[in-house]
Amino acid sequence: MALYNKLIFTGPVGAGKTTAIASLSDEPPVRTDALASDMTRKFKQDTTVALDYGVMTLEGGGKLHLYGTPGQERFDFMWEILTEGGIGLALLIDNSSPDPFRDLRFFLGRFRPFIDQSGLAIGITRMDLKSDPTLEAYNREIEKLGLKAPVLEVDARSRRDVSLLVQALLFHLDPGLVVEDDDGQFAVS
Amino acid sequence: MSDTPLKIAILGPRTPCYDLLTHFIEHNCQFGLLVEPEQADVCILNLDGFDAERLLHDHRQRNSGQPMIVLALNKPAQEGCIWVKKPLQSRQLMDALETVRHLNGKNDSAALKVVRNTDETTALNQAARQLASKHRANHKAVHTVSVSKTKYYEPVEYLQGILIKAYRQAVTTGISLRIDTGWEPIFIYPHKRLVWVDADDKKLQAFCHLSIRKFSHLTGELASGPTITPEPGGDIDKPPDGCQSMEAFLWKVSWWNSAGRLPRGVKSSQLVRLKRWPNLTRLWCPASALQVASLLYQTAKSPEDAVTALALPPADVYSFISAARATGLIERVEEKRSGPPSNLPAEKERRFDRRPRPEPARSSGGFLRKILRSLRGE
Repeated sequence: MALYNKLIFTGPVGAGKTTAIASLSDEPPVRTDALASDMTRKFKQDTTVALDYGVMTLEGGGKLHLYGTPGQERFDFMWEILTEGGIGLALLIDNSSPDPFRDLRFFLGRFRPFIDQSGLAIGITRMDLKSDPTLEAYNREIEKLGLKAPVLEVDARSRRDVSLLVQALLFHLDPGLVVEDDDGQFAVS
Repeated sequence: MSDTPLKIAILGPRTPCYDLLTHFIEHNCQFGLLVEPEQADVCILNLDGFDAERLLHDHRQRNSGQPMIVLALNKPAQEGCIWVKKPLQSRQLMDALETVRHLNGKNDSAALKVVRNTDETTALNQAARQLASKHRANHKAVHTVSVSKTKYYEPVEYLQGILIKAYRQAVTTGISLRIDTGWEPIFIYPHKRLVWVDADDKKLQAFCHLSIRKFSHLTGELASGPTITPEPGGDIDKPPDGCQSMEAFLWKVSWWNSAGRLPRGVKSSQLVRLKRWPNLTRLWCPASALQVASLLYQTAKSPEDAVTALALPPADVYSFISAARATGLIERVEEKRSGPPSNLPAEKERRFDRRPRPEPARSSGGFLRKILRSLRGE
């Protein structure tokens, strides 16, 4: 039986998956970057060719494993393996890419079976570089696909942003989730 | 030729403008020395600040003949002042200080060691950027939101109402506008969807506690009521530093105007639904906002039912609904005895419902809770 202790970050090349995992991980993340040799070279010198891995240590010694999928479609055979035992999917979309909606539809389509069994939150990155499409437009697009999910603007370098995206995912799974001794603040460093 | 520094005093209470000037003179104006007003060669005053005219009057009575630089949006009526138009540009401020140096006979250009950039990125902007983080929406600084004992409030009686009206005008006409309420003037730049006000969140929140009429009554300002006027020269390509997004500004103003009450027009028993998640990474809100957003996005609930389902203080839920409604994210849902409580087509609703969703009951613990605690740094 799979242990449900994984959180999956996915999205196209350069959307910020590796950076987002590094923002949350308590330990230096394991990265499997290599010199890009295909079309990816246009966007990044290094890219993730297998997976990224980070870990958050929880109270009582438990761990949440953070996995980042490789963005290139030719590695999609790995995606199903990676999602096994996942509690949810954080999809990052680069708003400055030529066709972010195509990316959105592609990843939602490929991960749909996993999304239907778990949770989804969508983080839109690089909105400071390009503000269009708007979050409203993204919501319309996912609604067309019969999905509902939190869609938030995210700077993958910001622990606070990535943390809020994951918190949104958790509350989307269970709005009644409660944290005792809540001080009423986003106490994220 | 004198190397004597120009002694400068800044008048008025500590505001972002005051801090900006202090930082500028201390770090970017090498010939300037900050001193007490009585020892100063020149004083600088933000004339748009609270009670500034009385301050100016009193100061001039005590220190007649002392040069005065006033920062103001519009040309002041007072005689004998050097006017620097706001939003502040470092070049204009430096020109004004140089004028004073000439008047005082300290006009040695060799001694004038001013950090002055040749491009548009001026020293004042640098100072503003360094201070920006201090005055940016600070979730920790403004965490005590006062809660009213009443259940409903009338948004049009508060800043929220005048702000929405001005937004509509600005967006429809594409003209930059200025709101005068007797408090700090608020500027709206519709092309960039930005707002500018010379106040930090603490000051804004304090103002939001009062209705506009009550504020006017207390201060004696603008008895005729708030005004919305076009801002000449407001259609600038580069808005001043410290601007905020229109959405984020309206969101927090509505949250604070609400003070835990529902806006008139949303009954506590009325079913409401969230059209989409607010962009909570860029908005002011307490942690409970995530829960309320999640519940109301997934299910139409009345405000009072949402309070029960989430076991949150009513103020948290009602303020969220107020802010979400002001920013156009809340829709009212007509209650149906049969079928899903939605105005969406039934087919679409069924598709949404295919996913197994946990009931919004309070979880007693578990793995998700541990993750949440870790994310919140507990």
